Amino acid sequence: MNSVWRGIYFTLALVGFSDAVYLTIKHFYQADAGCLLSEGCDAVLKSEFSSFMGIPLAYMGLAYYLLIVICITAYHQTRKSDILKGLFLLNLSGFAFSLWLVYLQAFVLNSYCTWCLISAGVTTLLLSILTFRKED
Amino acid sequence: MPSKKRNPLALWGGLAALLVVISATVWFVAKPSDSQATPQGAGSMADLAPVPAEWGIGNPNAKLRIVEFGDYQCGACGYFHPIIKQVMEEFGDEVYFVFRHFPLPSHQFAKSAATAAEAAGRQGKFWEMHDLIMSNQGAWSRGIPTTVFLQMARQLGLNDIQFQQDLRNADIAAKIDRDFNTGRQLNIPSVPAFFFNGVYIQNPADVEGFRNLIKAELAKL
Repeated sequence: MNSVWRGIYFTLALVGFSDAVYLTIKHFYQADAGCLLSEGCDAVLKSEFSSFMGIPLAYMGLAYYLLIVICITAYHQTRKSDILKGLFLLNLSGFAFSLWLVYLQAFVLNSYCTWCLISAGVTTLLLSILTFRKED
Repeated sequence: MPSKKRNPLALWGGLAALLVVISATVWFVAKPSDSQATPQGAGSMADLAPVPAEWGIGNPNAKLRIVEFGDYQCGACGYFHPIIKQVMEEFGDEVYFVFRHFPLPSHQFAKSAATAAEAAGRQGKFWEMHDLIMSNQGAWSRGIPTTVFLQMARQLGLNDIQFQQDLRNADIAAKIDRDFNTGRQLNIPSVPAFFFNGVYIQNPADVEGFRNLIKAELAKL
């Protein structure tokens, strides 16, 4: 992976990280916000699918992007290809999970959450970069 | 970009700093403002005084009276449902908890859910129905709710015909409207909205927060 793609990958991971921070803050204040008289609820973020095995997805997303940012930085420093393999597996699972979440939004909840879709998009791009990467 | 001879401390320190700056910026932007969830014309005791046939649990003579305005189709109300159950198990002797209906107009089935709970109440099973409706929001809010409510009524052993008649009962509809109008007069911005002895409180984040609010309020009495 050359330095340009590394930079793009790193920047995208930061975008994903910011998005996850935003969703985490939203989740943290969800009780406060409640369902507004004027706007109703955020159907997706307050649905029963907003957590997985008791862990809020926003927190999982945060940990996921944090791990990605750390891994790509570690790779930048050490150039060990094992890190990229681990990163690929991490990305792949994140992508599979995102697919499931997009499916839920489209066919079960029938409503979309923009910030969740951004995360799915970022993960797709990250995975594409890793899949089609060229070695140095 | 040369990668060797890079100072690892600078690299990781820079990364940590970058992540902190990003988090702080996002937090600053996303954090809800304090004024967002406060009703302007704060509730008075008079508006929240006991009304005939209100639904309460706990000790009716308790010094602390908590009134919730809730909507059965609101995910946040569903989120608070187990929290309320938990704190009422702990403070049932010292607190009286009252549920009032505030079905948001944007929620298609909220009013029918409130009606179903009230209809079950006519047969002495308000809280049982309330629990079923709140705990199974996903089961009825996206389908044909009336069928699900009827199944729940059967599950509770209610009289079918009576239940279905009560779903069309004008007094029940009037009661729900009255609750809703009280909420409007109190300028409730969102549901669930909780009042401790007539004073609006900011919703706590979790059961621990709710417990602390109750403890603090009881200590004042």
